[in-house]
Amino acid sequence: MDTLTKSSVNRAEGEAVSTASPRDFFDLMKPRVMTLVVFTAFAGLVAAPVDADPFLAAMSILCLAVGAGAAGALNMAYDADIDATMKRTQKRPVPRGAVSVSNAYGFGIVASVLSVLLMALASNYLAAGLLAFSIFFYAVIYTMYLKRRTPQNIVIGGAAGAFPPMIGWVAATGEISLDAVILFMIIFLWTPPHSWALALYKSGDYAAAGIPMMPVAKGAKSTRLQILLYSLVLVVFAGAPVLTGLGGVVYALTSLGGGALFLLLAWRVFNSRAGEAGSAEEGALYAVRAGDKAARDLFAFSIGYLAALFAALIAEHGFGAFLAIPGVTG
Amino acid sequence: MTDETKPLTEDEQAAKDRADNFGFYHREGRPTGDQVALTPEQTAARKKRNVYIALSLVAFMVAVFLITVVRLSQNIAAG
Repeated sequence: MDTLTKSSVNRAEGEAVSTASPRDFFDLMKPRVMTLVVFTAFAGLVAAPVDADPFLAAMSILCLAVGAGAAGALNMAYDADIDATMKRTQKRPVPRGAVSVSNAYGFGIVASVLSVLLMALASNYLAAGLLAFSIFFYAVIYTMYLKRRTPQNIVIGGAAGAFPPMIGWVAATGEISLDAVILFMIIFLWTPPHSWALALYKSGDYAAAGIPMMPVAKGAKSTRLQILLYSLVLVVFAGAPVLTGLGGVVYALTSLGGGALFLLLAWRVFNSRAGEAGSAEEGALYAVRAGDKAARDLFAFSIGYLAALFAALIAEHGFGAFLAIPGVTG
Repeated sequence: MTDETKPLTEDEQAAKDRADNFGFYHREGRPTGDQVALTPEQTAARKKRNVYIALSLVAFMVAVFLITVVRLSQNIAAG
């Protein structure tokens, strides 16, 4: 029967009858972010000193992906108003009208509950609890509280994105160890220079939306200095897995080479005038004005740097490339 | 007798029933006739969403079943 009663339509807050496709709901889950979540969670799971059942491990990764996607959907539901004002985000399913706000909330909540339940079944309650907390942290603490209130939004909120490798580790071992905390800290420290590099050349977008990102609230010069400082701390800290024996020769070389290049690009950003020209005219993620190129380069490289660090761990622990560094005991 | 206690006419009672029951007559369970025809595009989109919801539910049930089987096997093997 291809009819709906008027009253049921009215109950849907006067919204038009939806023509949303499954693809629109998939887009709600921020597939690009999900890819990085899956990758880092896989690294945590593989690097853990336990041989997990392959099927249960795969299910745990799937739960993490769905949980991360659910958090993304809740974020898009809440941020629909500011997403509509920013060039980078105005084509997301909610601001372009493909999915209603209430449907996005419903989808996010159902996916959150199912992913946490399945994680509890497939791995352990600690991993499920961490997954539930990370969804709550991203959707409520970061999205609803921090994002619109403080320039430290992504510094604190970055914790949400840092959980996946720790959850992967805990799903395999059932406990939080020092190495799991180190993996968490690497992503936690990586988030500020990564996000602020983007914010530098998209600051006009953020300002228009009223989001107090660091370049908007404290200015471009202060942001460039903070990027450099966080990069220094990150690159030094990224060597920690070598000291605990988690990282071998491959990881050490990746960390050393990638870290040197990261610092070089951060130094170039510090010495540039990035963020002072306002936002790029184009909406594309990598489109910049001439003065902002250094920030764009750092943003792009930071993704590759993080991926390389975790790929090195996967290669060492998942594909037998581990060569212990002489004098280091794990 | 005040208006509040005055018995409702048949039409008023029917209107109240409809309001209380999301547009459906309470006893007969049939629609009131206030209906919106969906466009072919809306119908197709709804059908596609329903198929994906059904597939997701089946996938969830299969996942729960397989996880339970693997878990049970592990526990039995562990004694």
